[in-house]
Amino acid sequence: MNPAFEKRYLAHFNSFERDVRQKTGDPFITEGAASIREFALAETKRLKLNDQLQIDALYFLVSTLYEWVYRPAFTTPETKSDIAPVMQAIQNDITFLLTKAIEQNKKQDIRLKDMVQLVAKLWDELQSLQIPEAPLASDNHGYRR
Amino acid sequence: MHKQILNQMLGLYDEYVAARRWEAFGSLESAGAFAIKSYIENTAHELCIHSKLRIDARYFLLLTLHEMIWLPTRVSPQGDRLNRELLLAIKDDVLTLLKHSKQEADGEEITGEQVLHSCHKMWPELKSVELACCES
Repeated sequence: MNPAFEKRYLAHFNSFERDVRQKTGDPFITEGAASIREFALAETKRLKLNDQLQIDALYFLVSTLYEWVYRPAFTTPETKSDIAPVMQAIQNDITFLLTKAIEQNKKQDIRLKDMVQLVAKLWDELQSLQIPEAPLASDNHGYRR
Repeated sequence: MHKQILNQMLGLYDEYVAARRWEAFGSLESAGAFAIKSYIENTAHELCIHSKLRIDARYFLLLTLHEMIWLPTRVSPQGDRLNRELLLAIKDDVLTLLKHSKQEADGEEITGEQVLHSCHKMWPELKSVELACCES
């Protein structure tokens, strides 16, 4: 990756929590966004992926799960009242995707296109991505799998 | 898609541009978001898929192109020519991705999942990705 762009991705990733706070003004949403980011970083470290996982791939993972899954769920009354399973599903998916990324990419760099490919390939197995499709608790079904 | 979450996504999609007006480089951030959102809406009309393109698909496309391409790649306000070039590439990519999604959906609704699959399948042809130097 071009070092200038790498630096910019890193800057966006590092200011993620502050940006969410500024955009939403909501301390609870900000806390959720920070948790997603911190969990992804912790898993990257635990799985010894620091050198392999490129910042664009990590940013895509965190940003998409926050913006596309967590935030709509947080602003929907039915899921906001019980947000813990949503966060758990997101965390499970981060671990699952990073583990699969290691298997797929062996020792090579894991970049944005690899993460897009993985999410596309594993969509049906990603718990958090099923939440928007599933009936909510108000329909007497719940969304947990 | 569950209606309540779909409604929330509709609100987030609608507010996306306005929410970026107050950031650092505010005008540049929101100009990019505004342009990308316009491309999505105009292309959906052009391809006659406006009623088939689900809000999760629109929101996913806007998020991906703005957060992953425009924000890290756009240059300072002095780099107007490069920014225009990048926006033109993003415009072409919106067309490439939605054309592919339309073809794959085969008359059914176009979902966020479909758009993500199109991103994966059409990756080598995405001009903005090439410009962003994320990959070759």
